[in-house]
Amino acid sequence: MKDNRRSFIKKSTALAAGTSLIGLTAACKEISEKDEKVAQKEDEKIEREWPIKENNGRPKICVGTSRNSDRDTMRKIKQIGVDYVLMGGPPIPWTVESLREIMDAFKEEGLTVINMMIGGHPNTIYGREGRDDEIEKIKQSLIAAGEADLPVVEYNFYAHRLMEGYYEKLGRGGAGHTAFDYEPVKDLPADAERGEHRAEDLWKNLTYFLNEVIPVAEKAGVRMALHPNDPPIPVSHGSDQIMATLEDWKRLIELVDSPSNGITFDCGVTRELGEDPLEVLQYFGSRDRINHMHYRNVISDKPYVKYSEVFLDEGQVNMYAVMRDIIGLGYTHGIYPEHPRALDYDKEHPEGIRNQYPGGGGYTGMTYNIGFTRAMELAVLSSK
Amino acid sequence: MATAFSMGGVGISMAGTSKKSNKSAYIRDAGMKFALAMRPDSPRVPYAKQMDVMHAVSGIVRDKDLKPWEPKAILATKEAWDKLGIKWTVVEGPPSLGSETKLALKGRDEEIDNFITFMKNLKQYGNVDTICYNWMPVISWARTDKNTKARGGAIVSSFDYEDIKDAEYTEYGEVTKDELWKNLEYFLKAVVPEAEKIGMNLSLHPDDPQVHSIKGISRIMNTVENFDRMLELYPSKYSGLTMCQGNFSLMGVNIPDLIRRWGKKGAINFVHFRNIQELSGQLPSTKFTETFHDEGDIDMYEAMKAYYDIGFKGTIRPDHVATLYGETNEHQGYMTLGALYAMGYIRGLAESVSKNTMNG
Repeated sequence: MKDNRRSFIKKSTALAAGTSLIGLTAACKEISEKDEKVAQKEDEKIEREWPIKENNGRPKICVGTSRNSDRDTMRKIKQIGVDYVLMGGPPIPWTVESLREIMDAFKEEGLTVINMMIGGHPNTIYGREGRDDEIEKIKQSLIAAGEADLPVVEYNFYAHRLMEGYYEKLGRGGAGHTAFDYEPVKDLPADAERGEHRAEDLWKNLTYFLNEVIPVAEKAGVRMALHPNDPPIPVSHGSDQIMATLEDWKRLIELVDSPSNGITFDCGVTRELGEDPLEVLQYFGSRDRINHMHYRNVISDKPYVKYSEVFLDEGQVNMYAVMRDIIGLGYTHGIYPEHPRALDYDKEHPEGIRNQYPGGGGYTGMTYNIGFTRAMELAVLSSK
Repeated sequence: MATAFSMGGVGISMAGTSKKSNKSAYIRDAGMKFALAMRPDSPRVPYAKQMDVMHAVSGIVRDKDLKPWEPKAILATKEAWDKLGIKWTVVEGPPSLGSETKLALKGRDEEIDNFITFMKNLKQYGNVDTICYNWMPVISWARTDKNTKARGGAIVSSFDYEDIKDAEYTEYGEVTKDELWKNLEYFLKAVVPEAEKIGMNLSLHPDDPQVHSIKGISRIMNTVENFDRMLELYPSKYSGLTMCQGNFSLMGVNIPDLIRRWGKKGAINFVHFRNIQELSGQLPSTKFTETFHDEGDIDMYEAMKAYYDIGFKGTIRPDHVATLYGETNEHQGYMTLGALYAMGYIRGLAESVSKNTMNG
């Protein structure tokens, strides 16, 4: 009892000195990293670290938002305890100034941009004229990212995305799940603009792209993360999908041997393939090729064909084990609990649903997801 | 003093602890009954169902023609919950336990008789086995600021004794600690034997705020020692307490340790899973602010682990959540978005603790 009381008073004094009513997170930010280490060491003698803070040696729970987010949007993110964000980047070529302007605006509200999606390279994907111009712009963008301290650049290499297969399925209490069925949409025809693309052509185009950009990214200190095909089906509107199997992902990281040539690991999509998310996580994580991560759960009825994206707490993926293993590997990039479920609260509020997917939700669903993910992160870090 | 108003009581829940049978199997929500404080007509109900929060901490549905302890009133409440598919497990702030009993005023015995009737009918007709009550006469739950800014501009409540230390006495004048103790003992000796007969888990909630007195009215359930003393007034497994983490933390104790100690005794019947930040440097605290679950003074993982280890299987609910962007602050502490964040957090902890203990 006496010991408890001493530590209590000590803690209270420290708090009174360091912070007002704003809470611990803000106050801790003001402590320099060096001081923080010293303080942590001292704390460990008395009691375990609490609250656990995200730092450079730990993964970062993040959410996606618009690069043009207003202050209210940023504060909504801060309110649920999130300090890191990702977003679609500006049109290519990025410049240091264009990136800093965005990143500084978030910084003002205490948010750090850790990932931007880069786009605007259709000719590169399809191997058409004009790809060298696109690739040059992407190289400039990667250099700018490095200078602006943007650590991860995410990208897609879709020939096509089969959105037509999604539909809303109602789950507990009528909450929306995002379900997908390949059967009714697998034979949809190619559209005139995109045409049909064969896998080996796409692989050639991807290889050409990576050979050009990965050395630049590596030199700039930037990691690239290729988003898997989602939905992970073999053919969309006549075009093959080359990021839709585990073999595809393994082939990708062998194209260019560099930590800058990595993947976005999505434990939900992995399960949609019928693969074991823990084994896949281990494969890519032990090779240091997971540069971004989606944290979501799913119930797969038939691999590659039929599944439902569900609440984090109810699917087939052991979310605790995913968190345990990714932290165990020393992963330090983003963990994004994306695709919140559609909740009545968001349906009832104007603009509450901000999601392109049937059964997908908005801020309220994200609020639940972040609470759940934060708790799992705490649990793993606490039981190390 | 807009602050000192009553929240209509504090709550309780189901039977407290039982032995874990199988450590190797993952148990959803670690076998606890996740709940929210709500009434059957509350706008929270549909959201609770979507969160898979299927237990309710609820008062009796009001009916002006019925006393809340009458079987009809209790049956109507139970039926309303049954219809919603939610299990009613706890009554917080029970009827017929007011100033008469806590201050030993005229009418106390009648009030206690009605309380006993309420317990019996609640068990028989409501199938509810936990009542969370408090020993704060006249002035119940109190805050001095319900518009305190938290991170990102979220809103929480806070308390500073300085702001009310000179507040005028109430019509009851000065009420001493000795009186409150005497009255509590009188109450327990009257009701616990009846609770034992029917299996009703009485769960005393700590004073909130847990200062020594407000407006001349003393507070006694404001130290851990006093809770130990209370548990001995009429020792019984049916005379337990509500582990309101926030208030006990403000008494200067390590919450996980306290959960283990009282858990072993079987004293914890109901849990308010919340966090808090102490700001006064005094014991018990005279100045504090509510926080989000993931910050504040209490190590929430260790707290959840302690419940798991003692085999707590009763009702657990968040309390006093922050008001978030876009919400009115109409019912500070009880708005929707903060509750959903809290439920996600509590569920994540429970799943982690359960899976961690089964070796992954």
